[in-house]
Amino acid sequence: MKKFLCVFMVIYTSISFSQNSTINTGLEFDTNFRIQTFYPIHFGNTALAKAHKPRLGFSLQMNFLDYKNFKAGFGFDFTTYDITDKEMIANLSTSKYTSAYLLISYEYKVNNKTIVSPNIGYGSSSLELGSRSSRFGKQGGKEFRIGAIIDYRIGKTIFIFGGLNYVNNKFDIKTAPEYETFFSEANQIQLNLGIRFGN
Amino acid sequence: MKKLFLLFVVITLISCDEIQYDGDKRLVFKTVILNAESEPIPNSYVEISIIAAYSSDIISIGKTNNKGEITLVFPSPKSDHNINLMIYNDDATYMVKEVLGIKKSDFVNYKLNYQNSYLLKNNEVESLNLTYNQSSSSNVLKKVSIEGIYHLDSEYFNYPDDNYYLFPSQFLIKKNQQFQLKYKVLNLQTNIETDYSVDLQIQNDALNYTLNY
Repeated sequence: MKKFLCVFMVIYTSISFSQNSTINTGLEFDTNFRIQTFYPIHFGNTALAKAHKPRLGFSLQMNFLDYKNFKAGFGFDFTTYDITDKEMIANLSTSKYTSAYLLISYEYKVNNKTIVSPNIGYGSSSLELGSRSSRFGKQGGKEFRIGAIIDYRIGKTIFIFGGLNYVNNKFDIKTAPEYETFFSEANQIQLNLGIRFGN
Repeated sequence: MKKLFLLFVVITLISCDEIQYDGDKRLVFKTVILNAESEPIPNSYVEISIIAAYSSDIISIGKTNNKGEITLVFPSPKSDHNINLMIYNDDATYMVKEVLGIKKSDFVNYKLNYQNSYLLKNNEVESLNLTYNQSSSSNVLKKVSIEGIYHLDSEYFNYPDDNYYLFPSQFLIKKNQQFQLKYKVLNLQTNIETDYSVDLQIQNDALNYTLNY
C-alpha cells in the first residue's frame, strides 16, 4: 500500500505540475491519470458468467499522447471472482483476472465542467485459478474494449468520472470441444467510477 | 543442527512436490452413478484427487443430478500424476468406492466417460473369492476384471507397472447375477497376450474360484 501511494504521489505530482510539450504536427506529449473501481457484469454461456461471481475491480489508466481531441494511453485492470460452480472450474475459491491494454479515446468537451470520451482499446489479459498460489495455472488471452466515460470537473486538474465499457476476452484453452467456447470466451459490461487527475 | 538440516530437506522436498497445473488445459470427467438395479442415484458425490509422491489435491468435487449424471471439469496437472476418484453417498448404507491410477492420457480429447459407476449396498452383494494359481512360470497375469455389477473398495483403472500382485482376491458381486470373469495373460517367451473369459453365476452365497494361468 505504501509503495502504491508513493507511485501515485509521483505520478500525480508529475501530472499536476508538468507542462505539455508540443511538436509542430499538433501532437502533444500530455498526461492524465485515472484511478478507478469497476464492476464487471458478465453475460453469455461462459465460465465467468455462469460459474463465477464478480467482485469489485481496480483499474489504472494513463494517457500520454494528445492529438487534437484524440488521446492515447494504456490501462491495467485487476479483479478477483468467487468461483460459484466448482464442478465446472475446480475445487478452489477464487479466480484472478488481470489485463493490460492500449487505449485511444476522443474527448468531446460538452461544457467547461463536463467531458464525454468514447474510447476503444486492445491488449492482453489473463485469468488465473486461485488467488493465493500460482500453481493452478492461468489462461492467457486477448482483450478488446469499447466504451465511454463522462468526466465532471471538481478542481483545476481533478475530475470525477463514471463510465460504461463493453469488454470481450478470448482466452487460450484446450479442452473437450463442447466446452471450448465456455472457457475461451468472456463478455462483460464494465461499470466504472473513479477520479481523473490532469487535463 | 542435524535436525534443523533434516527439517530443511524435508520441507524443501515437500515444497518441490507441490502439484502444478496447466490452467489453459481443462480435463472433463463424466459419469452416471447407478444402483444395483441400474437406476440413477441422485445426490451422490464424486471427488477427484491428484496424487503426487508427498502431496495431493482434491481438485474437483461434485454431486450427481436427478438423472445420476455428473460432469466435473478441472485443470490438467502438468506432470503425469495419478488421478484418483472417490464415489460415495450421504446414505451410509452405500459402500464407498475408490478408483485409482487414472492418467491424463485416459482423457481422450480431454474427456473421460467413466462407465462403471455402480454404488452398491452391503446387503446387495456376495463375495467372489479368487485364488491365483500360476501354472506356468512363463505366464504373467496382466489384468483381471468383472463384466457385471460388482463393488471393489479400491479398483485400479491402470495397474502400476509389474504390480500384478495388486489384483484383488475378492470382488463383491451383486447377488443373483450371471457375470463374466475376464483376465489377460502375457506369455513371456512368446510375448503374446491372450484374453480369457469365464462365465460364472453367483446366488446368495459366497463363491470361490481358482484362476489358473
